[in-house]
Amino acid sequence: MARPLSALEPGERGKVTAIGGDDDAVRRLMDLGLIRGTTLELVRRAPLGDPLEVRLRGFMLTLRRSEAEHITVE
Amino acid sequence: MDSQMMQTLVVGIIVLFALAYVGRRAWRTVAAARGPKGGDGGGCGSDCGCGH
Amino acid sequence: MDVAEAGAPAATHAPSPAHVRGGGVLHVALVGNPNTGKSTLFNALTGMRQRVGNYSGVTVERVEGRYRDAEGRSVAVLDLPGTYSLSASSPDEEIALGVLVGRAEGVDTPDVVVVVVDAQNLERNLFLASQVLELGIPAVIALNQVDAALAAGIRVDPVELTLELGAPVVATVATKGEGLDLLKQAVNRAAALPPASRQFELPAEAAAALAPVEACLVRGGFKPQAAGMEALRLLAVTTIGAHLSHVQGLAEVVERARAEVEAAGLTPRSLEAEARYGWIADVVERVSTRTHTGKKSFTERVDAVALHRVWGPLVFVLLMTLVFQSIFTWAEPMIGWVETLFSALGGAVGGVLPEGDLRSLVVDGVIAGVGSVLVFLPQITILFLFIGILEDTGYMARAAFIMDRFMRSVGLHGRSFIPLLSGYACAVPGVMSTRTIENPKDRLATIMVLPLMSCSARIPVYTLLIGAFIPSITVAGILNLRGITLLAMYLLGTLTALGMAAVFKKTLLKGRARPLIMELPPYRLPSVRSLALSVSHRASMFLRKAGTVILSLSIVLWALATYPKTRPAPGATPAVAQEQQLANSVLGRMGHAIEPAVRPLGYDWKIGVGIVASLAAREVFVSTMGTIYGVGSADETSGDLRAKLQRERDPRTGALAYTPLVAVGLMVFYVYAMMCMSTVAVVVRETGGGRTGVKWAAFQFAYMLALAYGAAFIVYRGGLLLGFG
Repeated sequence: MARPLSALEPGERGKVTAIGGDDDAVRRLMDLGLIRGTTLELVRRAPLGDPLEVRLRGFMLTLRRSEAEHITVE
Repeated sequence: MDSQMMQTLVVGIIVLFALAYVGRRAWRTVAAARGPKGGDGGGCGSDCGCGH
Repeated sequence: MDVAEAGAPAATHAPSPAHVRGGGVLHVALVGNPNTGKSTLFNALTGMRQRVGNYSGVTVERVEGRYRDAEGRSVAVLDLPGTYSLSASSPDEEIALGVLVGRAEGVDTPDVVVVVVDAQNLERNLFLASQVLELGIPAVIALNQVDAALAAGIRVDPVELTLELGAPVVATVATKGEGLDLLKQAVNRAAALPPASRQFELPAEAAAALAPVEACLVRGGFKPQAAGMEALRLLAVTTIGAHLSHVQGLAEVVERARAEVEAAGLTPRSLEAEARYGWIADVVERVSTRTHTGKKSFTERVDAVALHRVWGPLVFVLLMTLVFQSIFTWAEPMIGWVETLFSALGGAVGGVLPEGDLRSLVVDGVIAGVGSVLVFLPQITILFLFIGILEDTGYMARAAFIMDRFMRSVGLHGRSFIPLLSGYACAVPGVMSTRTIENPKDRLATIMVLPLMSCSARIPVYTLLIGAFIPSITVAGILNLRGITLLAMYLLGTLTALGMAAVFKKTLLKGRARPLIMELPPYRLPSVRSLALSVSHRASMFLRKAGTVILSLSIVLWALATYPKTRPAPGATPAVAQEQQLANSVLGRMGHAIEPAVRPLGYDWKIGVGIVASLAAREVFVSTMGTIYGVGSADETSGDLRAKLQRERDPRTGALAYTPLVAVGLMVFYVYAMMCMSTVAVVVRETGGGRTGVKWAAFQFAYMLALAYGAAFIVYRGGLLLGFG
């Protein structure tokens, strides 16, 4: 059941299967520990819908919807 | 020299110093602009004034 | 609490101290993720003995300090910008990497590097740590915030971690000053220990593919170990960094390595991250234990409200109002004290010195001039205090999170919001606080529009003009026309700022939107000492600037207004004599010279002089008007000045010189014009200094002046056409 990260509902978890998109963004995400096989949880969306807050490896990360769209989870 | 003249003289010296200082500051900004890579990159060094 | 220093060779004497160069000073570099308490640690180590500057050619802040170790030797500490990795994708990371490999201009290669690691976030922090440890520089790990970690149920064993990493680990709590002595000792002994090295293995094919890259780097002057780290890093990188431009043939070798790695069925782009994190996961398993406390952490509970769909923005607005309000209301009494102090000073000096030029210089020039700038101090201090608190507690990141969507609609970044808001108080600290915006183009756009946010210096001008020319009529039952006018001015500035930002981002400063990928750190109680230190630091820098540049400018302006001296015409009243004096002074002549330029806007030479003089500081407009109208010391509430302005007549036509229309036009002029030398100076510095800085500041001054002139023109002429005359 592969979906983009942006399609998760608050509280849902997923395991990363692929990371695409902008080179800059991808490298940053990987430096922060978002790699294939990482388990993450979508915590919430910002009041205006964008960006998203995600929990992984014990900390909270924010990323925009446009960046989350390129991350596939299952 | 009466007190008035003295005052004017002192004032003149102070004003000259002030002008010199302002001029030097302006010159340093301009000169920094000409130097390689802008002097030390901002004429900042250790004197940054204004809190940064 | 375990505060053990492990890994030092057993010896009865301390091993020989770390190798020192040049002058016997030990050079230490501090690296670490943002939000690890690195700055607090730095402050705790160096106290007041620090210095803030810039790295050559970039607007990255360079923070250095010193301390004396137990043996009395001087240790120089360089606090590198907080980074998540050494991948050099931002100026901050480039500088950090450059300094560590000894390729940063004007910076001594560190003898020892201290990696600050947050015990609560071990996994992510170890990424940077593992990269740094591979560089072959003697290293010490400062395992910070162990207290917060314990509270969250996380226990990390420093001894185990030392064995895993191959470098000494010292547990610290920087906010309480614990572990610092042990840290200093570890730093001293670090060079005597074998350097750390990579503790994990790459897949065989990858290692083979990278060998030529490493060889190439070594030929280019890299140490073998650092070459290993760089080679692995380069697999994922698209552009070779500036610090590697001297290595011959690097790009081709890296390309070949990538192809080889792909051929082996691996992904070059993710190789480093996956290899490191794979190893890190095992290490963290072995060295730390996590006991789930069951209940939600403090941070989670607060965020449930602070980032709530509905409550979040409310809390945000409330906080912003508080900050905004405090800058105006709480600063008021302090501003009052400063002003009273200065007028008392002026009076005292005036009483002591005999009549003459010197007295005038000191009282009207120095005390008035410098005083008008020192009046900024309470507001700047309060603003920086709040910003410091917001940043240190971790709320700033949440603010950016909430405002990002809105900021992006005008092409800016979420992090632009707070600096823009600060502009309501004073553009100077606002511009300085844009350093938190990583994307250079976003930062530049923010700086370019910031002065359009009506700063507090414009208030005296608004108050004077509204008070004199806008009638106090009630509109719609509850609103007052005067209040509405004031609000209109603020709105005008704000909307224009946002609009211009959008324009800039679409034209001059067009650029790819940088990703907003950032951490939302857990909430923390800021260290009072650290906060007090940084705020007082900035305040003192500000004072120093006031004492030098502003002082000199005030003196020069005074001279321009006083000379050449005119002998008063016989029988002239003091007011008329004053006027003549001013008309004949250099400043007065300048005013007359620019009169033709301001006539179309409905102003006469006197206002022209006021405008030119207000270049020193906007409030100077009010005091200049006071001087021109011969009203001793005037402030915006003095009824005398208002009355005089109302009665002023044009000598040629006999009609009233200033009408409400003129007043509104003048206010609009002030909404837009960049009449503030302090702001110009700070923009020069923050946009790069030197030629670049001057270029940007000049551009800003010009476009704002054009806006001011154009808008004032439209308002005045338009108003005349519409019959408001």
